[in-house]
Amino acid sequence: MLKNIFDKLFKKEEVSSSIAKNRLKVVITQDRTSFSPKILGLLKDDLMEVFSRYFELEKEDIHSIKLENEEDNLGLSISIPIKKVKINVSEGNEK
Amino acid sequence: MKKGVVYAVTSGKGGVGKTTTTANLSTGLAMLGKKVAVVDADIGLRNLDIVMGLENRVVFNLVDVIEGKAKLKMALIKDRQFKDNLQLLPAAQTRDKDAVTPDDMIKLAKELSKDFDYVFIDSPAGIENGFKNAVAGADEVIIVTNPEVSAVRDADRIIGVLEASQKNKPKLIINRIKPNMVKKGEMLSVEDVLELLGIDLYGVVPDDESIISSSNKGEPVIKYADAKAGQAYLNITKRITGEQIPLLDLDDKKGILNKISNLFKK
Repeated sequence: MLKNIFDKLFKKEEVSSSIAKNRLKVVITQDRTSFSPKILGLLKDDLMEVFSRYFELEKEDIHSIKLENEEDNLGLSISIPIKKVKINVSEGNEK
Repeated sequence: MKKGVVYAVTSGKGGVGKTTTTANLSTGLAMLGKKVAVVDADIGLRNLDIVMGLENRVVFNLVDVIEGKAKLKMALIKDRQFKDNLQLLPAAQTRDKDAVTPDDMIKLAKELSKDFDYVFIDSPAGIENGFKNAVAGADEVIIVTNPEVSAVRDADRIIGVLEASQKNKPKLIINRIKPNMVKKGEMLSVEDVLELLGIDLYGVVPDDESIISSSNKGEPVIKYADAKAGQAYLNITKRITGEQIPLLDLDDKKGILNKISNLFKK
């Protein structure tokens, strides 16, 4: 009786190889996509340059920039607080 | 004039069987009648000489050759059995890794590939200078890993570093697999590792006690036809020469030994 319960409990347990595989999937993706601080700095500068053409921003205003796993895909998420849109620029582009 | 192909054997993590693999593949190619040079690039931790049973004959080493203190031909140690067809350039034991540069290794590899069909370079563990030296002059890179989380992760790091350089895609050897554990789901399978790393498989070597007993004697296990690991290494050797050889059936039961494994469907 007690043995049956134990058996059931253990059978439901995930085999350790699939635990290993899942952990490796996560850690390998992280390793492959980790930014070096230098590249991060360069990307920030470039993004600031582009965004400041369209928006009024404070300098060094990128709050966060990171790569994230979304299901099977990798996403880049950036958070930039905007003061206001540069109206003349956006209208100029529409013409 | 370049003739031979230069292989570097590396792994990232230490202790996965790089040196054993280098010794076996180079011996195996000599068994097939090829002329092979082996270079131990693990400076400070010389090991290939003892695994190959040549430790008593070391006079000069890799650093002596690079510094011009010895001619390459003088420093190469001829194997007891294969003589000219298997020659080892041992690592320096008392120097540090910075005694050698990638350019030195490129020159050395070029020089050796003039006279030898195959040149094998045994890399130190890690992704630092020693590893960079070892792969600098290589045409092909073989990554050895074990079906364990740390070894697989490190193998992926190596793959990443190699991608950044302009080498051919590395090939993988999965060493020390235990088929019974894989069957129970307690060890990563060949398919799992291939899916995670995304490179081509060169071969799978089972965990085999004969590896220890043969290296005790300074004889690579590939010389023992009845050892599973020896058979697995011989198959890889043949694949290196371009033969199409299916993966070894690692199942312990007798009678299905010659059954072709479906592992090779990759």
